[in-house]
Amino acid sequence: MRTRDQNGNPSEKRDQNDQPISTYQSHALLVNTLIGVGILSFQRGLAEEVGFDSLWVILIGGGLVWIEVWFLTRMMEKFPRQTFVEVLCRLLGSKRIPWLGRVLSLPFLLLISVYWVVGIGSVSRTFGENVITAVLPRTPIEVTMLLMIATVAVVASNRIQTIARFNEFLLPILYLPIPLLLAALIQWGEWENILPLFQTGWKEIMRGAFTAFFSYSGFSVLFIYMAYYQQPFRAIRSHSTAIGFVTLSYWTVMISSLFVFGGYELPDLVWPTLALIKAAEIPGMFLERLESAILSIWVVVVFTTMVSLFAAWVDLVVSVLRLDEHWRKWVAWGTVPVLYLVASWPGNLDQVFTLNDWLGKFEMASVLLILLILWLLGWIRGNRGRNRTAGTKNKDGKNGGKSHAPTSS
Amino acid sequence: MRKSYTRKRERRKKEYLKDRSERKLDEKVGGLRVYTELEKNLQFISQLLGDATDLVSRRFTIQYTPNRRAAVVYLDGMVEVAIVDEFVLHPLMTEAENIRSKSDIWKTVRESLVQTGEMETTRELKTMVDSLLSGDTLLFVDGCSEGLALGTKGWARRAVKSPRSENVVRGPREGLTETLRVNTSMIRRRLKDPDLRLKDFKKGKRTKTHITLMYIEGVADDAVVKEAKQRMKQIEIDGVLETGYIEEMIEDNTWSPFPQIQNTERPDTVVSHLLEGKVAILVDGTPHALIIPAIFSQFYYSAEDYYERYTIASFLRVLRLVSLFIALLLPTLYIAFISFHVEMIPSDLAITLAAGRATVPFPSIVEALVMEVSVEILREASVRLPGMIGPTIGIVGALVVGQAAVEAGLVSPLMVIVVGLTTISSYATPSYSAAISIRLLRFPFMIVSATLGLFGVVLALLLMLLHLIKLRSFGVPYLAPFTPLHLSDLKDTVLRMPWRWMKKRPVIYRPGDDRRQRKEMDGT
Amino acid sequence: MRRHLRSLGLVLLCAILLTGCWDAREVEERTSVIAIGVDRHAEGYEVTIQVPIPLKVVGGGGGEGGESGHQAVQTFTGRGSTLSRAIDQIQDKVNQELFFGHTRLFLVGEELAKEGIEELLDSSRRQPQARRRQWMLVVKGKARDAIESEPKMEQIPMQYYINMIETGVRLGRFAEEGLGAVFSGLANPGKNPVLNYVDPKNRTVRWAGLGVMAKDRVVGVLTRREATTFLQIRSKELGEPLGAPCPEGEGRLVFEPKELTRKIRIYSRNHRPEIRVTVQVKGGIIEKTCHELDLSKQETMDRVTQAVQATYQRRARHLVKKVQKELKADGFNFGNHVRAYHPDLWKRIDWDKEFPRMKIHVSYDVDILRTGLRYK
Repeated sequence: MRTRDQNGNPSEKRDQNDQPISTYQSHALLVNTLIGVGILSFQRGLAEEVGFDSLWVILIGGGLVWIEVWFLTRMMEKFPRQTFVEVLCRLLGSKRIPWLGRVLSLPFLLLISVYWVVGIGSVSRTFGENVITAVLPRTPIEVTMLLMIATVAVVASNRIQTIARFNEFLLPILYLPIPLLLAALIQWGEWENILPLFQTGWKEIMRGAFTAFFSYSGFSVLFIYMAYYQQPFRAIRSHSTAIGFVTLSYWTVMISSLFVFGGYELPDLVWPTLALIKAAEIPGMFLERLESAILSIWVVVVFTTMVSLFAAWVDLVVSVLRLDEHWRKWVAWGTVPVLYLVASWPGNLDQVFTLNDWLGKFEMASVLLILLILWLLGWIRGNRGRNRTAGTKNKDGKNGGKSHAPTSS
Repeated sequence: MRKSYTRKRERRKKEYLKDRSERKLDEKVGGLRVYTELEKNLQFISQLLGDATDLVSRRFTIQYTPNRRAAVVYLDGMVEVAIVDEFVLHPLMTEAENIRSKSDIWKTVRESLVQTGEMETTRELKTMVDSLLSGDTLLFVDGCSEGLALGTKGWARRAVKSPRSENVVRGPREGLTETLRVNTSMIRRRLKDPDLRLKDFKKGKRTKTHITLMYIEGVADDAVVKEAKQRMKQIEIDGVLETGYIEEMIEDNTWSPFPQIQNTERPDTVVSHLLEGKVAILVDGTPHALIIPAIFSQFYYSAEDYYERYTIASFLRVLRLVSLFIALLLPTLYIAFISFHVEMIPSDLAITLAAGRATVPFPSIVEALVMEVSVEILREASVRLPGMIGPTIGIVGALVVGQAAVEAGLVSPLMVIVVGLTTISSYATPSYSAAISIRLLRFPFMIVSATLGLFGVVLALLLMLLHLIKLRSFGVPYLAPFTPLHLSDLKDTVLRMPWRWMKKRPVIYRPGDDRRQRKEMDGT
Repeated sequence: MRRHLRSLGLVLLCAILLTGCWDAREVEERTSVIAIGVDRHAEGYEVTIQVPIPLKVVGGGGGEGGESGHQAVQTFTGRGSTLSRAIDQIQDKVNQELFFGHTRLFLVGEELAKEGIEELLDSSRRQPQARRRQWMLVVKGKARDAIESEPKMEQIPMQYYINMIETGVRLGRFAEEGLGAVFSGLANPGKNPVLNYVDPKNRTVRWAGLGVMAKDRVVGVLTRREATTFLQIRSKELGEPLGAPCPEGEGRLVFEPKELTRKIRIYSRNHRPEIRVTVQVKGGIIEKTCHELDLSKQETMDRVTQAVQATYQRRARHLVKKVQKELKADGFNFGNHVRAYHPDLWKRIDWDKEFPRMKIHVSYDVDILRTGLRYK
């Protein structure tokens, strides 16, 4: 069905590279954006907050994120083929003062771009820290971070469609570490380690769910990407499956680490997932310790997250400043130093994690705020718009205002 | 960026050609008409070819009162002399009585005396010369302002033999030859479809090579055909000796290490691609055909995949894909494991490796680079070596030199295994041009691996992936059907599903007629 | 496209120029430590490591064959106030950088083990090189002696230890407790780690039981016989075959367990826990030296089963008494079950005080399924 849509349509552009984002691509995009650096360490923060109950609090976190993404999707559906930059400009602006919309929308755009830029920096820092502790202890963290950011910049300076296809191709890579996690689970898991459940109060649980947000963060890129969707009206399904898949992945990791380490050891592990892989052994394997291999796979996972955020940022700048396609490259490379500075900003690992926590909540809040604004504006403008259309119809004399009909004719 | 570059390049080439050959030829022949005087014509041609020694001008008389002087001109070796003698000279010299009147003489010669199938009447001397150079025989009659070009092409041809590069165990043994017509005939014989279209081009200002574009109308995507014709038209070059010239001139990204156009020596492969809705380009003088568009996956397909049972074919494809990865990444991984991620190697093996490398004076990257480069040299040398010596030298080089190097403590034994595996694996890729690019890409990967270990390798792989994703061949994304994903096309990628399941042609090529099997065939 | 490739080249160039391969250390440029032994010393710790000499192990170049024992390895000793200080001292003695990525054995001297190993382990938890899957053993006497012992079967003596432990674990006789298990045992308030206890003699090494720990201290050693029952209750291991006296007459029966299920039931009586363990063992007779007994008869079988069951239960009673009264540490990890399944109860009591005086009842349920190739 889908393929026929894509190929049977003669009016479509010749170049398949410029095809709008398909439903599956949107799924891949969201999954790859959400699963990021959080997967390396989210268990620790969560276990610290809610202990054994992290097992299901992570699901609550996923649920909350799903609700927000649901609102976001429904909102953006109303503006097909438009990024929220254009939407905001249009809703906030007026016809008489063309620049007004752009100026008024700046604070909101700034809000979300702060999240994106700081997010990329902090993700690269977090992953850099992980890499230098686990595999490349002597390599300066600046090198790993800079290389990562530079490579991401190369990718992110492409069109959104290319990035969607990039994600589409890389999605299956996510599945690769799962057998290993399961191996660890089977070898070292103990039922007693995940029990007892339901021991924490509501307050802690809510705090835990908020802590989980960072692991799910990144969905705000949909503000930009949904404009490139082929079928924005089908997005709700692909987004839901994506969130479901992400939640399931996190849950698998969470349950494996709980089974293996229990609620007591978990808060003491800086990189629980790495420790999990250290614990796993696949008998008869050619390779013995798979930390480095799995970490290389996570390079991909983290990379896609950074690319998504980065490309969204680039697209935002390009559309705010109304630049040409080829400016993407310059915007991307121009941001690299900023990103590097942001990444070097936290003084130590603890601050990195604090920043991550804060970022997760910040995204949640700012997306909510923007959605609220969009909804309010849509409501006000929509009402006025409806009045106006009603008015025009009146003038046409077709619909209402029979009493006026004689005078107008 | 690229487009403007090619455009610039093409324009420069055009100017250059105009300057040299074109203008010279134009000055000499352009616009010249056939002279009425026979001798003038002969003299002109002889002069134009610089008194070429293979030029044969046979003057004779047509026995009709009054006698007419006439002459045939051909290039020795390019024509079938028997045909010229028997069907041109013989009737002209003996059956002139059929001519009724003086004014009728030219018409009779043309229509009843000369007995060749292919014949062209022209007043243009330029056309005459072109025909002469491509093996036709020219006939001039004194007093006529027209000449005849007679199709008497005939030269030494190589017999149809089995292809050198794409051998199969099961499947036809015929390979394409250097003669275009033989090739088209081989394809026609397999594809008796009236919709098969042949579109001819003459490319090469000096070689005037005959090029044919083939496709099945209604199956091939019109846009691709149009694009291919367009790009063919833009070619301006003095000579086309092989499909490689064309390939480089029409491919999407000349800078990419990956081939974006497939070439094949097998007529059956050409037909199978035509049936998928692709376009084939055949060039006279080479036994290779180009197939456009091409996707990455098809470079590890072999013709045999479709002739063998699907289980075996699928297994072989997976095997080839594995060997593709080995050829690309094995030395890279060796370096990464040996110098960065030693903890990944099982401890017993690590001790063995350490012992093997204890005497090696270089870091693993140097060791690997030296070995890989020497194997490449060996491989190149064995191609150049005459006949029977080639394989022998290859074996001697690999075994003796490798063994000696290990014993001298210059390389570790595992390195020899790695190099050997890599080399063998790169031969498992059916497409030679793809195998070569993989061989080439191996080196940057090794260097990255030596600086940053697996972390760097993954980053480099991601960049390569980005390049592959952006790459396209005549509008078809290079990594299709994986991205953009086309589930129905996945049946014929890593695995080959049974024919029964592949009722439709691959959609990525946007075939006009998308069904391979009709509904009626379902039940049988 | 061309620009994109140029940037690709740029990144590659950066990779080469910027990085200079800080972490590239070839496999032969690492002194790969296979085992660490730690003893108590006046300065703090005395650390002994064993390093295989690759060329000697494999047989250098000309195929003169590998050498074994202490020809193929070298041991180094260092002292220091902490583990890493001591290792630093060793670093001064070796030609290449020490590498702990392949360390698979961590030996602790008895004296040190009794004092506590929590501090000792900190470095292993912090260093990414250290494996989580290392075997940790308590050595009777000094760990240094174990590392210097020379079992002949393997080229690398420590490999012999590793293989021995792994075989025992596979057979269900030894405790499957590596470094990872020790870590989580120390972290979990309801758990205590258990370590295998080995006794190195000059040429041989013997597994001599289990060291039961109260958190990080070894508080006592269980003998081989006790260990079987202990592991059955603690971690559902099969343990070694059981010798039981014949129901009548001279001779003995040997029962080999094949299948084992264990159930722990926790009751709360007057807000105090009471534990009942049921172990169900299925297995076969592998040896019988009592002549009168005819195993083909049902009633005889019943009596034999009774005998085996009684022996198991007697041993269990002994063991529980020893662990409760003598060691006073919950080696069975009952605390973990209470914590997991009865969190309210767990919160009310102080487990370490409660454990030695609580009621623990172990009952066995034996099933003899087959008698080997002989019918009678």
